[in-house]
Amino acid sequence: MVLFRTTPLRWLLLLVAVVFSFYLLLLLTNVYHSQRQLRAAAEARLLAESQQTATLIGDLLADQESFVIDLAKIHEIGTFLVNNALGMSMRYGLSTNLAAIEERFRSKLTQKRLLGADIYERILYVDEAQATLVDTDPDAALDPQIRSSDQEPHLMIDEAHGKIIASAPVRYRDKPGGFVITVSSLDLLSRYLTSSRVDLGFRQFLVAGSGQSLTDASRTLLDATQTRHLAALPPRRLIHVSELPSLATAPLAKDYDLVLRMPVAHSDLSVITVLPASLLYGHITSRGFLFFASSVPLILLFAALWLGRMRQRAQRLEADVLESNRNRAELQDRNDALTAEIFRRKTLEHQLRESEERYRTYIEHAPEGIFVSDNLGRLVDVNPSACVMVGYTRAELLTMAVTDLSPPDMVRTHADALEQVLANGRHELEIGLRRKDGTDIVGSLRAITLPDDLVMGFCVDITERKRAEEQIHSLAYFDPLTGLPNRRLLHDRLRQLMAGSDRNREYGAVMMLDLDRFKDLNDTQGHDIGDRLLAEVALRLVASVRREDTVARLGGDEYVIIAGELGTEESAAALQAEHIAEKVHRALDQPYALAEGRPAHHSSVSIGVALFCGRDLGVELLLKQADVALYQAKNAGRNTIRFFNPEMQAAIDARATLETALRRAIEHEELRLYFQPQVDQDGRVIGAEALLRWLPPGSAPVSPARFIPLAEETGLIIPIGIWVLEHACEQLRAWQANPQTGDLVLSINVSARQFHQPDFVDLVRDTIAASRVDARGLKLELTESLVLDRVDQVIGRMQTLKALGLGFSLDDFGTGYSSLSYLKRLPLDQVKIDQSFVRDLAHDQNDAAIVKAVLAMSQSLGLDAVAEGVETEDQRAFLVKHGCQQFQGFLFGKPVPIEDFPAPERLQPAPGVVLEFPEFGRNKHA
Amino acid sequence: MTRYRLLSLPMLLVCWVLASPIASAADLPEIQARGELRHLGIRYANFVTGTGDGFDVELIQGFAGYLGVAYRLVYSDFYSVIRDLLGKNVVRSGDRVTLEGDYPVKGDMIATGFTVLPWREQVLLYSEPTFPSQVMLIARADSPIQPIKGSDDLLKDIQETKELIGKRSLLVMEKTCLDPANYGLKGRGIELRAYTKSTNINEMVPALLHLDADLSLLDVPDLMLDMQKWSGTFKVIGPISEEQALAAAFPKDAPQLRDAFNVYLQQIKTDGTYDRLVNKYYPGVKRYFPAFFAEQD
Repeated sequence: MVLFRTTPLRWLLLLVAVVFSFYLLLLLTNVYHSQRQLRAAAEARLLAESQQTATLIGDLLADQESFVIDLAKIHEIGTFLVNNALGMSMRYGLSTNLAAIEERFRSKLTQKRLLGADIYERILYVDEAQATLVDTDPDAALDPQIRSSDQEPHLMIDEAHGKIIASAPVRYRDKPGGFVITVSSLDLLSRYLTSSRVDLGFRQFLVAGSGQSLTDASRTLLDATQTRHLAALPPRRLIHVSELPSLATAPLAKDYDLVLRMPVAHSDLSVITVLPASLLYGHITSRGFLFFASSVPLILLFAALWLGRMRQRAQRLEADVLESNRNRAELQDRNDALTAEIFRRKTLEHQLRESEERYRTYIEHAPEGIFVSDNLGRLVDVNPSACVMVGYTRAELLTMAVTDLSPPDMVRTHADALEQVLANGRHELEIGLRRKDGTDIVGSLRAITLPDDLVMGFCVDITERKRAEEQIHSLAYFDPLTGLPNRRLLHDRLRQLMAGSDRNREYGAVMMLDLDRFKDLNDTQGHDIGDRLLAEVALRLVASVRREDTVARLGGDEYVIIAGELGTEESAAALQAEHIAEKVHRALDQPYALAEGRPAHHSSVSIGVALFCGRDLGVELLLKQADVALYQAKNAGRNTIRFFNPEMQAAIDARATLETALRRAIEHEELRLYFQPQVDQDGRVIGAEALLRWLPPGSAPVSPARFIPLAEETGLIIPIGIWVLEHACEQLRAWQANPQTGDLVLSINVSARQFHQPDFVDLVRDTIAASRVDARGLKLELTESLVLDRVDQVIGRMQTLKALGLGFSLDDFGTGYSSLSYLKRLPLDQVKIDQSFVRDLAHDQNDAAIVKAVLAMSQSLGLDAVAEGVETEDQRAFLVKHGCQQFQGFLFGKPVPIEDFPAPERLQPAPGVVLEFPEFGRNKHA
Repeated sequence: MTRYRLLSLPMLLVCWVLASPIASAADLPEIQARGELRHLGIRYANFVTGTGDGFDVELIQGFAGYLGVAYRLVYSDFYSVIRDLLGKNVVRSGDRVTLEGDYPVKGDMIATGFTVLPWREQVLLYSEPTFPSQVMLIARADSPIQPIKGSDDLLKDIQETKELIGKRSLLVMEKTCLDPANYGLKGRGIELRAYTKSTNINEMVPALLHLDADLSLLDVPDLMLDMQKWSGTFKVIGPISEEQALAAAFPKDAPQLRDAFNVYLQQIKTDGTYDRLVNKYYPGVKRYFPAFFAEQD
């Protein structure tokens, strides 16, 4: 600054600066002119090069046009047209010319090349109707553009398919003769573009007049709109990209500064050249730099003056700044403390808001209903689940009290619950709620107190769970069909009643009921009707007894009534029980309307009654006594009432003893088969019936009439039947092994229970197979009742067995409800006339008539008839006279063990001779 | 020694003169032993052009190379070619063909666009077909007869073409593929004019244009050349024959040579040589006989 205070020196320096600046100005002017000349030369060179490229492309297009015109004049086409005019057929003459044209075309294709590649892809000759006559590339798809109807040669750029299509009309004797069309790829034109081959720092590409880009290079630099702008640029003028706002966003704007459009002759194409200015102008010093360089001395001069002044100001400011800094540091510390406090509070506030939001979200989405009330029970808040639970809207609930949600009889409970919560801080209970629609629900409520004397209750709807529990209870203790107590509840009640009876020494009664022939109803009318009867019976039973009595259903058609407090006298109690039983009996004896449009159903009931006093007898025994009495009532012909007495028990015991003995007899093989011969009219033994006998060792034989029904009842008939079948087959095998007895037929009786066993057919088949006997020697005797029960199933099984060779005989024919229609359907071989008819043949006209009718019927049906129980010659004579051919009875032989059965040589006695066998008994059972 | 040498030369000459005329047809071993294959060719279309090349010329040159022997083209004509091969004259009497006389055998095989005809098969062994052909009816451009339209039924087209002949004069060449006997044209009231000025089928069109007859038969190979050469002066009326096969022919007693030729033919079809020959001498023929060349491919 001292320097500038010296005025002469200052002016001297100023003068030097002015002179130096002038010198620089001259220098700048000179350089500027040189630079202009260089730039003009570079631009002219670029224009010339671009023009050359456009000219080459234009020449190529012009060549294509002239080439196609030449093709249209080749003599092969002329020859074709001449021959065509002569009327030659395409098949036998013209195709030769077309082949020549095609060959010529192919030759031309190979001749025309550009920069090492074929110029033309395809040449076609089409007729006036545009039908293709010659095509050098017939397998390629035909571009729809490749058609011409223009009578002048023309060139077309197919931008969409990237093709150059040239066409020329063919003239023959001044008449149109079709068109020749050449097709070449637009990519050919790219070969002239510099940028497509060498990266020289600038790009050239081709655009159509429509703005379509025809070279791949430009597509990466420009979009379609920008390309259209390029196509519309003034031709032959170098333009700065920065002058074109539409290209400002194009990728090329980053690398290139200048753009030039050069039109291509013979087409609407343009060659676009883009390049950076540095490439065009080289490293010429810019004008700005020159100006800047020349002004530097002056700038330095003024800068020095300005700096001097600035320094003075700076010193003053420096002092102010120091003071200011001190104040600012203090302010900064306070500001930091305040900021920290604000941040801490904001954090706390945020956490609080988040926490509240979490709880609010939980309450809003909690599955349980949440009720908030004040200490007077007025609801102040509820969540959506609570609204759904009780069916009110939130607005409605907020006008209500908790007691408004209780059923009328539970208002007090609700109020008490509220008090409990307020007193204890929490309370849990199951509570009834009445919904808006009037339905009641059960809720599990857990309530707690909140600050400000508020109470919050969490309530879960457990109505369905309670209902399910009740249903489970009902299923466990009640019969679902009738709603009556089931066996479990019956036992429970009976135990309670017996306990009370024990305390009061009062009599009670257990009545066991069973509907007569209920199974028939079920089988004939269906289970729906059967169920309706069971339900109706339950209603009538409940209506017939006292309220304190219990009616239970054990299952099936079995019901039990237990009645207590019948007095302390046994006789009075029995009388009272009888009254109840008769009342029940009368009620159930009334007709039942079970189905619309059907006649009323009549049902009767058998009732067994057992009295009790105290609990000396167990529940099971008491029920068994009632069951025994019921059994007696059934045996007494049903539809009646029986009281249990000790004799009944004795009979039950005896039966049980017999059953035990029978089981032992089966195990110890105390059963045996006896054989009663069957003979023909000539007295020849033709077979035998196997009869079962029980011979306990050391005691008298047991009558089949005793043990067969017992076996039927207990199911022992099944193993016994198997035993009989196996032993019969064994005997049959022995007979079939001997020629003299090989034709004998052995009959065995089959019980209904056995026949209806699911595996009966398999059992018979397996047994026969195991015994290796001819099944034709075995005959099964079935009773009428057996075949009439489930007749279709029976027929099916009989046919299966008959296919194995077995025969069938209908036993005791005539004693039942003989149905001729079934008789016709059954695959029977034989009917057996029951011995009861044969026995009184001589004295009872009815029996004689029946026997005659049976014989006549069997003859007409083609069945054999065998008469059972023939004991006299008169009976035999009568039977023979009326056509009976087979006989069985004492007249011919009694049932005997096999060792006493007639020897083979005795099987054919003289007519009328009675075979003598040891007598055993007349019963035949197997 | 010198005296013996002087005597031996005329003796050898005598032997050669005596042996040549009676040299019989040879099968493969003899040809290989001789070291030369003699190809009997007739100047006909582009099969044997007469200037030392042609489809069949190059084909048989290749065959000789395949056999490893030298090649020699022996020119003949359609009237003599079988005699030159077999050393016997062919006499046709209806369907019956007999061989008579003794003549010099001049070649080992015929390959000259030689049509496979039933009567020829009685005396010759043919190779697999080497080329397709067909015989057409042609007329001068100013003839009132209009060409048939053509249909997909070749037999119908043949019938229609034959009916157009009517009583007009028809130029034919006997013993060749243009022999009217081959196509049932005899005995139909047609005025048959046998062309005898030359044995070259190539001259049928000039003869027709020279008004030697109203109509003429012409085979397709010739037709393909003549339609360019005599463009606008004649027209093809329609087909006279079904498609025919041309093949190389061999003596009946040269089966090994024929079989070797078939192997060679198959080989050049596989390596592309055959296609090159077809395109060279009959460009466009594949378009005329697409079925035949599809089979070759």
